[in-house]
Amino acid sequence: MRSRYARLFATCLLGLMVAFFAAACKPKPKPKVDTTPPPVTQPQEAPAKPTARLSANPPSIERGQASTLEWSTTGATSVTIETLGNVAVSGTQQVRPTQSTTYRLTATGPGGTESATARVTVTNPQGPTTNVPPTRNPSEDDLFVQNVRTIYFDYDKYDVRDDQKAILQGNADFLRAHPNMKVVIEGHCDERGSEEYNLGLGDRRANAVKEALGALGISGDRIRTLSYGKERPVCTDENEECWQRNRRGQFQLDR
Amino acid sequence: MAVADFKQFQEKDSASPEALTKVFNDTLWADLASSGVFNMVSKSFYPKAVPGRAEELPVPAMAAWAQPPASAEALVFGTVSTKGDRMEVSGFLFDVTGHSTQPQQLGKHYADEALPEASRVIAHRFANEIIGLLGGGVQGIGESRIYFVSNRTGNKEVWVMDYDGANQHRITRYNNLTLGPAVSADGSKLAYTSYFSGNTEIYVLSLESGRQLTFHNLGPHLNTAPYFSPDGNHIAFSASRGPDSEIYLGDSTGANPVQLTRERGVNISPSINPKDNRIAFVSSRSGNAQVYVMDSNGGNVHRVSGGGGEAVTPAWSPNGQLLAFAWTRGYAPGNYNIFVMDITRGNLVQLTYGAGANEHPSWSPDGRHLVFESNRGGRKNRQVYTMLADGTQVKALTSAGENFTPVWSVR
Repeated sequence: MRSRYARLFATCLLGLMVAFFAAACKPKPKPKVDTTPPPVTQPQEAPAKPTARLSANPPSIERGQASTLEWSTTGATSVTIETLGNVAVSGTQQVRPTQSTTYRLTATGPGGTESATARVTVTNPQGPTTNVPPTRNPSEDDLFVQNVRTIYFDYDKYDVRDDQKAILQGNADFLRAHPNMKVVIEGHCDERGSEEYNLGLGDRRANAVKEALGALGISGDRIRTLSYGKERPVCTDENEECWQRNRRGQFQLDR
Repeated sequence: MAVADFKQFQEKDSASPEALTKVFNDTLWADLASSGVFNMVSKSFYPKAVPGRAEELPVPAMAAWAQPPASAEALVFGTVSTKGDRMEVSGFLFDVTGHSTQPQQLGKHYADEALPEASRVIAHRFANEIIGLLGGGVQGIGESRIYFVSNRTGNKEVWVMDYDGANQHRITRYNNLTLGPAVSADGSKLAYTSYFSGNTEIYVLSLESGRQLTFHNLGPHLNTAPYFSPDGNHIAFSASRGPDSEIYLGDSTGANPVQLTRERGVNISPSINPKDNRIAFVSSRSGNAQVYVMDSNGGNVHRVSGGGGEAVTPAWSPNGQLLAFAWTRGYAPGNYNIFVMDITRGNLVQLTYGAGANEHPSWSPDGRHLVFESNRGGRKNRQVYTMLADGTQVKALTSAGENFTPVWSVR
């Protein structure tokens, strides 16, 4: 029996491992060639209401210090935070309010709207300290957000498009005028590539923007790059309008 | 092959063996059926008289199994007993054709605590013995496991599960973004990429001690896509010291990295051939993502994915002869299917045929199965699936949250 089985099953082994194309030891259905895509079935129940979570860490600061907002949502296609504007469906952002502020996050999706709040309490400094950090102009965050804008890319490309060069120039001009500012350039992709390839493509996009800024006189010492691949989409629709919004190099103030 | 339900016995003052026996029978059947090696005879065809002990199957009794309707060539049977808080399993494999001078091929005895998990482990072990004996000498996968990423806790973390989807539990606890696990050939080490430090960095974890091992990331830039060499002494990875990501091969701590690619764009996703150390990888050097193969020193680069579409996530089979990868050939961008190529002959087989994304194939240790991710159940619902290496027996292993980028481990 052993030799019979060994022959039989060794053939199976070979049949599976090397020659898919030879006749197998038991009939196996050959994969059919589909010429039409199978119908897509969608669940019929109503989409779930979005969830939203927002926190500020630390929740209490002295004036001039920073707190980090951290948020995450589910089921949302659009997320905004008051004073920050449109943000990714989850993420973090440093803020430096000059007075106590309640930040409100609104997450909107097909299932409805949800909001969350986080409060940052601002107290007066306790008195002169020996190691005073350079006091930033508190409106610098707002200025940055208003003047340094996102760069967009073509599918599977990382070169800076001609129609983006004016934006890049504007970003460079602003950074030149604020030499103490450092930036993080985040590279992002649309959903269609593999996760790993998109990490590489997002990284290459961030580096392309960094190089372009270098050519415009902004030193690489001021620039950090970080790829998020397709992990931080700003929208999740299956169309070119959304995909284009996700193929981006996004700027953040770096501390 | 016929696999009879094992008979149950209960000593006085012992736990009931009923639940344990059910777990054992179900697991044993599933392991043997999914091995891809046997034609299973449905239990509805079995004779009424089912043996438990070897003595209960003398030669005259075997005929009932060899004749129609069962028409079996092999019969697996045995007993599950409880003694106090312990369980004992006796399992037998018999050639019932009547042609063998020694019908008993296997007689195994196992003992453990009377717990469902122990029952499952015993079933895996016994199934592995049968598969090892009859399946051409290749070890069964009953005790193998699959590492993958899940977002069911709200963050993407590395998880692990048994090869059949049982015992899913979390490995990393960064409460941050963690991606792309790789496991060493002996199943002792896990590598992955995490944003925990604020940058994309590779971490290596000892799966035996649970402690983090040293890994020197190349710099404050992209560090990702770790892959263990077959002997476990090297790690390949992708990093962007300059503007482009390149493939490097470092020792097991990432030290002494040797740069293997020098091309513009994206060079990523290395997979090392277990037999000849050639490296398959993904590169955008020709304009979009394609799969390439190079020697272990970076020489002799040639492209594997020809024609249209984009190709990603290559994975070598355990015998080093086949390369599985995901390709969009014939479909719109982002709609990948799993392909397998015989590298020596160039023969190509397509294993999945559907719109949607089927990506990241990984081979079982026996080379007969593939695990992969697919969103066939919903565009934003990526799950982990297994199938036989010919594309049949597709089975979903996960359902909670989204689950993806699986890798098959020997243990």
